[in-house]
Amino acid sequence: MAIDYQYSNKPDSLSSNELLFRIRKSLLDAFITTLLALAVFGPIVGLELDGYDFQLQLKSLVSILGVIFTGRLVASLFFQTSQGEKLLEKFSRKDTSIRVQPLNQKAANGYWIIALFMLAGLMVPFLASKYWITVIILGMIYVLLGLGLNIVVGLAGLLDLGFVAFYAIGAYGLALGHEYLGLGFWSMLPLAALLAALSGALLGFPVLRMHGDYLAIVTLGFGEIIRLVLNNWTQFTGGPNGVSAPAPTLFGLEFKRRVKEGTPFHEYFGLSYDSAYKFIFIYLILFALVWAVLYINHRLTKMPVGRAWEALREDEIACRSLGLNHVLVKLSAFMTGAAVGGIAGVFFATYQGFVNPTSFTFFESALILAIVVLGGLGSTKGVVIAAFVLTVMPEVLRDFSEYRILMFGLLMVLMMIWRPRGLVRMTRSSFQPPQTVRQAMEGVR
Amino acid sequence: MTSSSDAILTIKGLNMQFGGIKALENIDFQVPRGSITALIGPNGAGKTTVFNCLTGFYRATSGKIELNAHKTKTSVTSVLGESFKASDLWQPVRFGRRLYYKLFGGSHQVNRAGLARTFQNIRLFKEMTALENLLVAQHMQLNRSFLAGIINTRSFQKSEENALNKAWYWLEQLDLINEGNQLAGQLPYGKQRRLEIARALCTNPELLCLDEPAAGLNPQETAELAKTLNTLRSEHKLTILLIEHDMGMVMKISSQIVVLDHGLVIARGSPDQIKNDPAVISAYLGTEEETGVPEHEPALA
Repeated sequence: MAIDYQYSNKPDSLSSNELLFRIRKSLLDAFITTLLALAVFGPIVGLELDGYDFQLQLKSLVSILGVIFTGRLVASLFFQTSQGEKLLEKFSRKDTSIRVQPLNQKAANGYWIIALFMLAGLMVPFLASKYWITVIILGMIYVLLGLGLNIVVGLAGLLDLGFVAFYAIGAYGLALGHEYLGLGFWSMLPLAALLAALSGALLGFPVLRMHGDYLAIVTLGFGEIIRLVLNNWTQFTGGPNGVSAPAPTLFGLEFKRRVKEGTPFHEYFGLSYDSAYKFIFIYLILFALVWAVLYINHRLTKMPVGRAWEALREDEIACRSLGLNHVLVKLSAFMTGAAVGGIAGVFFATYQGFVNPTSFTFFESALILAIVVLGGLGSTKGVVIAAFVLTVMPEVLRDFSEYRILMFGLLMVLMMIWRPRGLVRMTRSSFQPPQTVRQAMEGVR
Repeated sequence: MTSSSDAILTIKGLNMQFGGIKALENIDFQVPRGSITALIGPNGAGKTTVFNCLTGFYRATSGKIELNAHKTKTSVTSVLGESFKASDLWQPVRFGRRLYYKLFGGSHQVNRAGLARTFQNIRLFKEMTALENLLVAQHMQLNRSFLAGIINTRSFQKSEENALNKAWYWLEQLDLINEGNQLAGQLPYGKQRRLEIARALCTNPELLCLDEPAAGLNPQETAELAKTLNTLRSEHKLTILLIEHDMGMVMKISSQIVVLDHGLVIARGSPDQIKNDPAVISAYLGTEEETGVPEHEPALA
């Protein structure tokens, strides 16, 4: 009791008694943590299978436990100092994380940053190696997917766990359209978007009367149904063997080494053949398209449709009382998101040159959802950053690829604790009052 | 009572059942155009149920609700989507109408017909600014074309500008101009109530239904609200139907009062008639004749 009394009265000056108490507490903390770590890591690290037998690996286990023990000890000692307490408080504070842009501070220097990013992005294909171009293409495909799902989950607040279905429809649209109808990349790009939007409407109309969890389950089912159909309808889709998908053409010029008719791209321009040309070309189209979708996304939030989506996320009953048909508003969000997903699918197919059902598992849906959640629901900037972080990082950290899912889970847990609203803070736009109102406002003051 | 041709809202024989419980029984009343009508009654009398029926949030078990606004007569029950009948087979027009309302009908159609409402527990879009709340309410009046919005055409800009002007106008009317660019969820309670009314007004209604607008307001705010409602009626030619517990305010502003108790209309009339109506007094306070409790209880002495 005496210790408690002193502790609460004099937090700054440490008596020896109190110091002892703190150290003992920290030691206890560290000990408990180490015990827990032993339970978790003991079987994983300490035992190594050797045929039907196993060997004790005490050395690595003890070193891991040692690191954990000292780490926890240092951490709990640090958190008891005044600096540590401040740090803890900073993290535990909940900020509302939505802010209204002040009237006089418009995004004036935003154009600079956009121009800089555009320039940098245009230079990438001419400076980077083929490998990095393909990595960034994949990153941009996930940006598209993230932006598409962001409309559905972030803006309209409909939890969609089967978004990968629209991705698959886009990808298979290109591959099968080429196989059966002889359609190329350029004709399939809008058609696939349309196809995905239509299937979104087909799924959406009956199920969008449901809320939250029920909707999530139905969409999850839809995603699996599409994958299973692709897997099992062997005559049409090729089943697990997949189908090949065409590469894009530049005004009819193909990017192959040899073509059946006409001249290939490199011969036409008198260049020597390089397989990277195809990826540079895909990169440039995709780059332009990502900017277009970003612009459309930006406009959508300022349009009646976008506002209606956000209002629906906030309160569906209030929306209905204001004359908004909630089913149609949801449906428009679902279809727009699906169309963007379909476009991403076309790029994925043309980039891989081949599609099969294993690319469209539930894990992809979860990854796209993680991009949206990590980026901050409804935030375009955040989605772009998160998409690159989650797709490019695994490429950089190839050595740790086995721990990818583990890191992924850890990241999500940390996010939910410290940044539940996502990395990027939402900013709502403000509006200048008209002249007459401004006069009245000054009159009031 | 005014004649039926003058009524903006006519409710006839309205019944509402939840399973075996009769929440409303044979409700009959009219809301005269340009009046302030109050719906009062003890807790659990069914006031909010009546509201939900006539704004289309509940499907009434039986009865007629007719809204006569924007120069057309709208039946609230058919707008919500009625079930098909065998006779629809040889009446294709009626069948078509029923099919349309089955697919696209619902409470939003009631709002489009000219009736706007607020809620007992405020339902604002909390993470949007006050102004954006009012812009959402004008959704149906705006240029909603996808392409026009993305290209940002002149007609789209014009439509957005009109919407903003209208939003600022109603903010000014309800004394909220300094709160336009603030998040709705962060406004003080009284201002949230007023913002909800402003939002309802942005849908161009002829009949405004307010569910306990004075709940949680202090006496001064209540007095201001009463003044605002009177202005809305006299200057904006609105008809107001409200549920309210603040008897002082009800008696002061309403031209007609309907009293509900246990799902029945027990009295209708002007404030003075209601004040002296024995049925109303007994519903609120209980009387010796009706309950008879004091007489039959054994004497304490």
